[in-house]
Amino acid sequence: MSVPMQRPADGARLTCDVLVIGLGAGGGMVLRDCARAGLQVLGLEQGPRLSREQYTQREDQMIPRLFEAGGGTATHDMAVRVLYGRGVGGSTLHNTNLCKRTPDAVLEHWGREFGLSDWSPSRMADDFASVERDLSVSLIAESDVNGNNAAMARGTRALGWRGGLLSHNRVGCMKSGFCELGCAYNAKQNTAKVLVPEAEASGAQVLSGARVTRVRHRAGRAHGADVECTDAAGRVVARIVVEARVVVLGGGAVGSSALAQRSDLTDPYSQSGEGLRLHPGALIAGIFDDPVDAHHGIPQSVDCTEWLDHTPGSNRRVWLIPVFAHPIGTASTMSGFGAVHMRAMRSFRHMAVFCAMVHDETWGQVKAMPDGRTQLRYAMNAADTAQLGIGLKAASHLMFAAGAREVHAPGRAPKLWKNAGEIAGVDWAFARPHAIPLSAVHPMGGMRMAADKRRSVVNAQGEHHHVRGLFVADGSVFPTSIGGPPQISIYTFAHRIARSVIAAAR
Amino acid sequence: MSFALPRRRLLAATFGVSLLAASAQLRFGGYVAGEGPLADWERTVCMALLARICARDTADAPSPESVGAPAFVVEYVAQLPAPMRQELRAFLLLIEHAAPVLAGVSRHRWTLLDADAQDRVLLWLDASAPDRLASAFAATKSLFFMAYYRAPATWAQLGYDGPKVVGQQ
Repeated sequence: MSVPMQRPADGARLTCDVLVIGLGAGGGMVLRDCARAGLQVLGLEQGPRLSREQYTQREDQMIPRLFEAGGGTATHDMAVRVLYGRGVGGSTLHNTNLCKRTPDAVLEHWGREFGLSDWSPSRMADDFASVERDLSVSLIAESDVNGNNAAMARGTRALGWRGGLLSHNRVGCMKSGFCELGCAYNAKQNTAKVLVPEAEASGAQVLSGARVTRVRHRAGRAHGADVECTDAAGRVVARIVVEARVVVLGGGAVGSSALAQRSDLTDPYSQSGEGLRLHPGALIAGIFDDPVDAHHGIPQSVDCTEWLDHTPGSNRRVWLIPVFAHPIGTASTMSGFGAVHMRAMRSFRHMAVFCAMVHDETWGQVKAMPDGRTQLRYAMNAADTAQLGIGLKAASHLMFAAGAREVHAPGRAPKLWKNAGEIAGVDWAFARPHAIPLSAVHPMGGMRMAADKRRSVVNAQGEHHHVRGLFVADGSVFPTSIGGPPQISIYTFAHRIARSVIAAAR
Repeated sequence: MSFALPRRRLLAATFGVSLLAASAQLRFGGYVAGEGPLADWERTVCMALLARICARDTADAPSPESVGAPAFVVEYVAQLPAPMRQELRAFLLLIEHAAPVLAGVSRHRWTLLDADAQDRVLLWLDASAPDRLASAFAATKSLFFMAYYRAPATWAQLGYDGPKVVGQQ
């Protein structure tokens, strides 16, 4: 059994073969693979390493623990709330364990458009399978579909639309319904449970509460990082330097992009932070006569793909997926305030909620500001905004087909429909940023991968075009949106990039 | 070199400054003093917002005070990262001094209005204000909903059975 790494003294200099910065899905995978390869590897994570006792299933405690900035991050215009994880495990701590491979159409597009022919579906098949084995991915049983998901399945069947059961990485699940607040039963087969322990068993060291302020580089080569060690309150208690032969960024679309910019890495084509995608999603709530109890059981066990075609240029770019939250999350999404809002909250047990998530084309940017803030610039384009309307309309039809007695579209001018016929004449132009609540949990891009260095940051091996020995292994390398849950894609990309990391470190 | 201000001009200037100070006192002063990490005016606006945003639909619902929401709000705001606290402070300032005028409800500051007028200002922010203001209001509402619905006493009215694990911190 491994011994947790003690916080180094102020001024300490550590050395290792491979330094991994950020321990989400991507960083955790590289950490594990490099340790298994016999390399001396150190993983740094700016968030905490939570113990099982800290998963209290309480929103007010877990949201600040699991999400960056306490869940308060948004695009610079505040139109889209952007949620992503922090801590050892990153977003794999709070995700709902959805497992889908990167769609073939997306990989084929990347091969043609970005020179990533080595990332084709056939070449990645074995790696996908290997990752799925490692994480115990399996199809959810029909008997484990909860009320919220059963409503979507019912609606999908009634309308004759495409959709079905999903695969998850969970073992020993208690079906408590608190997945988005972290698993108190340690049933998620994620970075924290599977990869980090395996890495430590192979000799890797992990330091949490370690914020990297700058990647060290000289003469076009990365050789380490400046690090601030923080206490539980986030106060800096030590500054250390890590020297490494190879440095790997695994801080996600926002973290890796911002760190690259703050490190003044060579970037002749100003590509760092470019091409941010979010998968923005909007919600439809249905009220049913019988209790749905959407907060009980496994969330997101089915989906509806009728309006999702990953072919580039498609006009069907909406993924429909059940979502639900506990009281605080639900209250934050519902329209209005005061007594009207509280009356609506009393429908909590009878409410089903579907999300229309857009496989987006909007070009966003991550910008590290001089005052230390990181800005997410993302102004949703007209085509993506139109997809929101298509998605909400489809989700509303699904709700009525599932038996909802009324359907709500929350927003500044909230809508309420009593039957499917009322949807026909709706002008969906109201479904636009700022007018309806939008959230995103899949930031991607910013350190994009492509053969052409004029339109990307890393090459097809995940190595920085202009800084040798610096790799990126997280969702920031995706050249476009992937239109689905990203964890299997990130794990698998990192698994493949780890091979190049290992070769470079030897 | 000597500099002499004519006496009449000095008196006029003194009068002008006194008038400005008195107006500023009326507009920006008079908040009830309190202890804690928030300025008096910030606490006053926060507590008034909490009362309106979490106003009850029936008397059987717990009040924000009874579930400790005010203390949570103060503590939460105090612990926000500095840039976020700055943004919230700017928004509170806007609600207090500009929103009543922009909403066409009153030229008085928001905390001096009655509940009905306060709600009309908030309704304007919710439904009709420029996009960014409306989004800032939505984010602010989330904070107050968190303060209220974090309390187990509020869950019974929703039929929410709460966490399954007990005794964990």
